[in-house]
Amino acid sequence: MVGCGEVMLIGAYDSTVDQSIQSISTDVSTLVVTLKKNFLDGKAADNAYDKFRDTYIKIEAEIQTCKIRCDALPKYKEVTSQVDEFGQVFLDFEKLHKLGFSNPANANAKPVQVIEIEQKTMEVGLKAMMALQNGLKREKVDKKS
Amino acid sequence: MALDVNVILSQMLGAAKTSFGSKWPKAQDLATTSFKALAQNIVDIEQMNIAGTITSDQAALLVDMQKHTAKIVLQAVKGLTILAVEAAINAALGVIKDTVNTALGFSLL
Repeated sequence: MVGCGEVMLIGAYDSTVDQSIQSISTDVSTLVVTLKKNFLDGKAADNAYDKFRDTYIKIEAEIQTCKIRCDALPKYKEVTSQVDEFGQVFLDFEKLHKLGFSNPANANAKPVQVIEIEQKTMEVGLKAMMALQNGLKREKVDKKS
Repeated sequence: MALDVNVILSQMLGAAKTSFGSKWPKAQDLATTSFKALAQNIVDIEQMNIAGTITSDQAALLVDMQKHTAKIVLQAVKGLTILAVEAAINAALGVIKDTVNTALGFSLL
C-alpha cells in the first residue's frame, strides 16, 4: 500500500469483460432454448450437431476473446479462472451434443430433461460470474463515494 | 496530539467488522443457492444413469459440468470475499485517516 491510496486486492471493474460475459450468456441461452424447443416441438432432426457447429464456434471464440481480455488485466485471476472453467463447461456441453443428449437405446429417454440439467448448470455458472462482476462494480461505486 | 493505540484499534475493528459484515452475506448466499442447485443436478444425473436414460459417457460429461461449475462458484465466493476484506481494510484505514494524518502533520493515509 502506498500512502494516500486505498488498498486494492482484486482488479477493478472492466465493462468490456462484463459485456462479454453478458453476450456469452445471451448466446448460450439462445442455443439451449433453441435445442429444447426443437425437442418439445417434435423437431429432433433439427437438433443435429452439424446445424449448430457455427454457433459453437462463435461462442467458443467469444469465450476465448473474453479470456484474453481477462489475462491482460491486473489482479484478474479469479475472473480469468471463471472464464476458463466456463469454457470447459461449454466444451462438455458440445461433447454431449455430439454424443446425443440421451441414451438412444432407451425408449424412456427424455433429452429435454438432460438439456434442462445442462441449462441449470450453465445458469449457475453464469450467475456466479455475473455476481463477481457486480461485486467489482460496487467496489467502483464505493470508491467514488 | 498523541495517538492512543486503544482508541485507534477500537475504531479500526469497528469499521472493519461493520464493512465485512455487510458484504459477507452476499458471498454466502451465492454459495448456498448455487451448491443447492448443483447438488440437485447430481442427484438427477445419478437417477437418469440408474434408469439407463443416459449412458455412462453422457453421465460422466454431465458430472464434469457440475465440477467445473462448482469451481466457477468458488472463484466468485473467493472474489467476493476478497472484495469484503478489501472494503474492511479500507474502512478501517478510512476511519482513522484524519486522526493519524492530523497527528503526524502530513498525509500518510
